[in-house]
Amino acid sequence: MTRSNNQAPYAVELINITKRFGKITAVNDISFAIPQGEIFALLGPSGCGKTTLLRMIAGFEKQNSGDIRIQGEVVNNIPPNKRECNLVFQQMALFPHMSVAANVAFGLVERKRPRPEIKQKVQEMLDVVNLVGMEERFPHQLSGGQKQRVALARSLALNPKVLLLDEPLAALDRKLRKEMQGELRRIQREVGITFLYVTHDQKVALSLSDRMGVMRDGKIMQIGTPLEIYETPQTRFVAGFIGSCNIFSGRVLSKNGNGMRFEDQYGHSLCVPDCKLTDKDLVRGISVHPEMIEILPPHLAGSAEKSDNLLRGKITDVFYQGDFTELTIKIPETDCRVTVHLSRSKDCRVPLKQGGEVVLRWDACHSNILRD
Amino acid sequence: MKLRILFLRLISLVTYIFLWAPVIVIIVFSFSANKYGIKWDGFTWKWYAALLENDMVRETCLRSLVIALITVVVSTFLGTITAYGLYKLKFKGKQLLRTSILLPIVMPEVVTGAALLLFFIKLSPLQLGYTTIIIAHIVFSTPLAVFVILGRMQRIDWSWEEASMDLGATRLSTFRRVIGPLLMPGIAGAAALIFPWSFDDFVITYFVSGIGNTTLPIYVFSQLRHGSTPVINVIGTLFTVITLIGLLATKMAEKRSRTARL
Amino acid sequence: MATTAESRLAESSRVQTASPETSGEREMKRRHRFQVATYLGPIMFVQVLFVLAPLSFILMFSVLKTGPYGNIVFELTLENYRNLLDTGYATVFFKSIYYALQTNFVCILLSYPLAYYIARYGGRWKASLLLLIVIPSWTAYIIRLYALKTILGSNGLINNFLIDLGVIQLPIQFLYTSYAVSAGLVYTWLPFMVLPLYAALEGLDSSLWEAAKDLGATPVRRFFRVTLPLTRGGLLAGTLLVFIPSLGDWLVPHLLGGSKFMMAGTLVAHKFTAAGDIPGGSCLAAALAFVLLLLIYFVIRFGGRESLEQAL
Repeated sequence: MTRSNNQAPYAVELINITKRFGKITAVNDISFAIPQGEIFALLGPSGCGKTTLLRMIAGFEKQNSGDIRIQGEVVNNIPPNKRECNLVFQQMALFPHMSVAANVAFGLVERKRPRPEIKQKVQEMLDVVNLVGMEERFPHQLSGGQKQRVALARSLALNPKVLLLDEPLAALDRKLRKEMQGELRRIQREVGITFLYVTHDQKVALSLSDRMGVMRDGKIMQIGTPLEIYETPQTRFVAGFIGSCNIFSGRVLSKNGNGMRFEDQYGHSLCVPDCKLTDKDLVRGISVHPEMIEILPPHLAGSAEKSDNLLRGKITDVFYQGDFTELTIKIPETDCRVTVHLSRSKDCRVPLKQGGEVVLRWDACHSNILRD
Repeated sequence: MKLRILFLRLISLVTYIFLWAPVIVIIVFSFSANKYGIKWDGFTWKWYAALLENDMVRETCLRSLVIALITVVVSTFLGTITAYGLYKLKFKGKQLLRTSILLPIVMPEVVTGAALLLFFIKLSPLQLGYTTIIIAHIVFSTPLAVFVILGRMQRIDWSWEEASMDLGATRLSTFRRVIGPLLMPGIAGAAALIFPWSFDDFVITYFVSGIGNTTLPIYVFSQLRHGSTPVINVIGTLFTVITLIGLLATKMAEKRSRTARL
Repeated sequence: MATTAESRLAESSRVQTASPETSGEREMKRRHRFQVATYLGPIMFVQVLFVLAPLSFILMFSVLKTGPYGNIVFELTLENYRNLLDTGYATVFFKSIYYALQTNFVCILLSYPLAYYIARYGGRWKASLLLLIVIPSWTAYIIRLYALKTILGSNGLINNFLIDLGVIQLPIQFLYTSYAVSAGLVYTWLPFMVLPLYAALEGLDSSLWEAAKDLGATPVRRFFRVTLPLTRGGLLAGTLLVFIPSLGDWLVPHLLGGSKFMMAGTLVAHKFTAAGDIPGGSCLAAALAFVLLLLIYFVIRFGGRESLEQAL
């Protein structure tokens, strides 16, 4: 219908997509677009509707309303086998009765390409995923990482307009996952195909994607670069899901020259940076990353600067994590618990033991404003 | 401990002898010169020669073969699509359908046979004959095919189907290239069950065959009624040997394909 | 599969009011109906026309009358059922049930040790040992039954053997007795008991035996408290596969029991083929079917449908 020029700016556009299963709404009026050549990660807890969204783009589920466009073309009524997007399945779904080469060639054979072309393309793809020499193996003879590469090559061989990946790394162990993450990035740069990557693992989303969206209950909560999402989450949910953030609910009391006065629900007064764009009444809370908080011995609390936030507390738990130490600190007379990550390089002048009294300190500019 | 194993061995041995005794008797007496085929009167090949000249055996055997082949093809096809539907689709009355499919298997053959006979002569325009025999065989063997293939389907990862569609294959092509080959062991298993049954069935066939439409088991039955003849023993021997060869061949093929994959 | 299940699971927490059906939903419903019709239409056709209709037909004929010349009189009557109770037919039914039970019992007694032996001590011969049970039952059924007759006959192998040994002077009458029928039934249906029992025993984790041993159970207690309860499904499946067909068997009593020996299946066949009493035969068939369905119903109640379907 609305076929724009060949080089549409967006690989995928979703316009007011809603999907219901019976009385349950899995995807609720979602709209966003993914530019060409990007790795876009869709992050959300299991059951948030992200997989349903992916399956709708692939054509396995049909939305109740809204349009899906792939490179500008509306594909609502195109069945999955005719859509020019391919899905890499979580379970990989390699055909067990076919060799690696036959698996990669599957879609090309379906498209009735001439034999030499298929052969060449298969070689090319196996080269891209570093599997040359494995052509005659069968899936059960491959390791998890190799299977993943074959699944990738199989989908990429069709040169899709967008590649959809449904948590393809979830089944791999930690070390392999890390390695494959790098590989995915390299392969994407090499072939230049847009990737839409669905995951519930915030680490994968942050390190892999160019941009990402965080989903919850069938809605997109926030879209942005990993940096934006991590450092300036806009809602409590995003802040909490993306990293173990400390969240203070409260409101802004007043604005002054270099910041705003914020009071949390327990009455602590905190400094937050002035945000010119936001109306102060929209501010519902702040979040602070645990690695931004410093720990001082109680007697040094006085030496803090004006822009600093200070809170007194008691250490309740110490978890040694190797590269950092996680502390849980309870603010007396409240239910408020603050998590602090102390990296090994950071000098700490307080004995880290349970019950120890400390003062927490962080720079006002590290307080991130939440609107929900 | 030792005693227990000895006891188990003994019972097993007795059971094996019990199961094989009639087969051994058939094979041995097929070479016996005794003309009633019930005593050992010295070795002979003459009953095998007699079989070659027996037109009735050849004719009925061919007929049974054709019936069994048609039955296998139709019931495995029906069984496959039914199993697929039962496995993949959700709808009202599914349990009822499943139960109803079990009926022909759990009914005694005389009841199925009698019901079909009554139905064919009183209600259907069909004359009793090969059509009714084939229909009866299909009615009985399709449920077997359904449940054997359903068992196989439960072991298939159905993301394969979606993967194939995603890579551009149509439904038909997906079945031909992916699901079909993966279901093959189940379909072959069903065929291996149905073919010998259909070829060998007497009871249901006897009811619905009408007069003069003889299959091999019915011919054998009528011959044996008039006193056993050694030629029948030859037939029994040949079938046992054919079954053994068929089984060995499939085992070998299976083994080869397994080693090829590993 | 897992993915949709996953999304549905969590989404159930936010049920929303149903909105009017969109065209997409309608189309999906239509496609679903079309699929059901394509895949299951043929079997429904076969089931209704060639299974349910004939069985209902039998039920219908069972309440009709036989005329004086063997013709069927279309007049409703329960006479056939009354006959069933009055005459010796009831005895035949009970006798059949008795033989079926006996067959089942003997099959279990023979199969359990055999299946146990194969499952635990079969080693690499397991498949071959199983095939050795299945092969003889695969072809030439009638010929094998006649061979059994040859073996049991008064001029048969057993009698000749015993006479040659000098154990007996005159042949013992095996053939055309209830013993021959029992032997024939066990012979015919034994493999159907061994296979499900073997499957059940094979499915047992051998660590269970070790655990039981470790906990100090004696072999006998181990069997009754661990092995037997855990193979209940196999026993049930085997029972279904043996009891049902032996109850309705026709050929075995017909060939090995002689013309006077009547069981439920023989009676049905006799009424239909030799006597030509269609209403009477229908009534017997309906009664037989009813007894069996009742039995299956109880088995499914206690053992679950799976045991039945698994048995296949």
